[in-house]
Amino acid sequence: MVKLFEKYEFPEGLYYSKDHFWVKVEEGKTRVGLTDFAQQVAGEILIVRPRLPKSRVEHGGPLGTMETGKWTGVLKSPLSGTIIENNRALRKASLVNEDPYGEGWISIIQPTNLDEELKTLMTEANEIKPWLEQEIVKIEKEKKK
Amino acid sequence: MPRQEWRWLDLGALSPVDTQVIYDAVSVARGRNLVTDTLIFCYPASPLVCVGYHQDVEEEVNIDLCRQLGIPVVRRILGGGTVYLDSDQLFYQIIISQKNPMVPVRIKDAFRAFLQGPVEAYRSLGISAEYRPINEIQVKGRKISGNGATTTLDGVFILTGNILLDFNYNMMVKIIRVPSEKFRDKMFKSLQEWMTTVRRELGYLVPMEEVKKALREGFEKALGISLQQGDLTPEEKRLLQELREKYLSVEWLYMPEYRCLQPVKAHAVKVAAGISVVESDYKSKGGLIRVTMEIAEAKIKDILISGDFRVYPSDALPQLEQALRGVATDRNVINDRISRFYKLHNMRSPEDILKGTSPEDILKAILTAIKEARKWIAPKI
Repeated sequence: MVKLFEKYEFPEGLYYSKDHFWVKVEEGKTRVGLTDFAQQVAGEILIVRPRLPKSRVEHGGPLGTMETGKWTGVLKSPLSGTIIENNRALRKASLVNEDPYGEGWISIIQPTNLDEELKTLMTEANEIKPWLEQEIVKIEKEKKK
Repeated sequence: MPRQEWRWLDLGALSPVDTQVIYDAVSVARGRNLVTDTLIFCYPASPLVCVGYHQDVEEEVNIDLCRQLGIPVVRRILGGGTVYLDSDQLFYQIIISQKNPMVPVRIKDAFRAFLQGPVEAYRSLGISAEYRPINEIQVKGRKISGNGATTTLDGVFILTGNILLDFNYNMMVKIIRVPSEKFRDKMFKSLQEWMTTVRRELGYLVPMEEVKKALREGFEKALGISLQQGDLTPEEKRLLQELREKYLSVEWLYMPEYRCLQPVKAHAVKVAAGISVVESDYKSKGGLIRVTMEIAEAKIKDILISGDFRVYPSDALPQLEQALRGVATDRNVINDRISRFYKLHNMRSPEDILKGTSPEDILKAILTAIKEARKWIAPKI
């Protein structure tokens, strides 16, 4: 487990998108969810609603929607493919806050362009850290206003 | 930062459905860079019931009543709960590119920044409004504006809210599906207590044009922007027509494909920030215990305990309800209050006063209601 800036967990062995998703490759399929950084910034997550199984998703396209107390937004898929299964336990959406890399997983996708699209994702700490630093700088700048 | 120029669309009275379609349409145009950052003012020509994006409309709304009264039900793209809207509210709708440096990363910062506009407007009308995190405007602790936000796939940030010139509290509690009449009563009283309007604060209804002027100036002053009045482009009008079809469709309103996936919701309604009404049932050996509760800032403001369990003496329950008012929504504190209630009455055995129903059952029934409120409204209630 890598904890960046003493606050944000980024487990090793996963891939990460700049749209705040993690990807775990599991025998040709991929399990995806939101990162610890994303759930911390989002705050209390009330609803996570991925698109239905058999839906085709595109890299950067809509995987589903999410609602925090005051905001609703689109979840952007880290990969292209077809949704095979969604996490039914997310009827309790707070699982994403409590255990984003474990019980809070969102969907399993059968990818259609895995090798190419994995190259667009981050995996090493030395890739994630400079990107995350920029995200944190944006937030810290706003805090000072 | 140099003073930004935004387009201002003063659209006046729109059809009920268009009050929700318009910002969707303009945001599509903004996402395609066909228009600039925009602020819309509008209000519905006639009433509507507006449900949040993720809500189950049949669970939340008394659709039969709405049909009888000729009130359309419209699903919006923003989240949140069900609300009755009419021409006594002025809507403001901010449609801005996420790339605009005025848009913070964190949603709570965005609300804090943009809601200074309506706060300024209320103050210029003589109402001492304040911003309350995360997304409310209040006057001495009472909500006077509700707000929501979303970010589209094209990177457009939308924030909408309303100036409450007046509010139909009666209709609000009529159109919502409630578990019981007690819940409806409690919700009505809670809304009256925790929600206010321009009319209530000033004692008269300020004319719409005066409110618009105050709001326009409020946004310009608070955000340091210049609003240039404009019109919808032909493309936006086309998008409005196209999206209206979607909003009027049965598929959009009911979203049947998600119905079976919706979490089963207990009966909990947020009235204002920190204020909620909840009702839940607990099955004890002595019978069903129903708790209808108003929670205010993590304390039991009001509580009704009812059900088919036996109570002896018969006035014990109202006394217990009175003893629980003002108590923090904390297990140990509630347990302590229930225990002290029995000691105060000097009973020989805990079961005497509420035969067949133990104090532990009462505690569990109350905790069940609190748990449901925390699940559906906010964890810190």
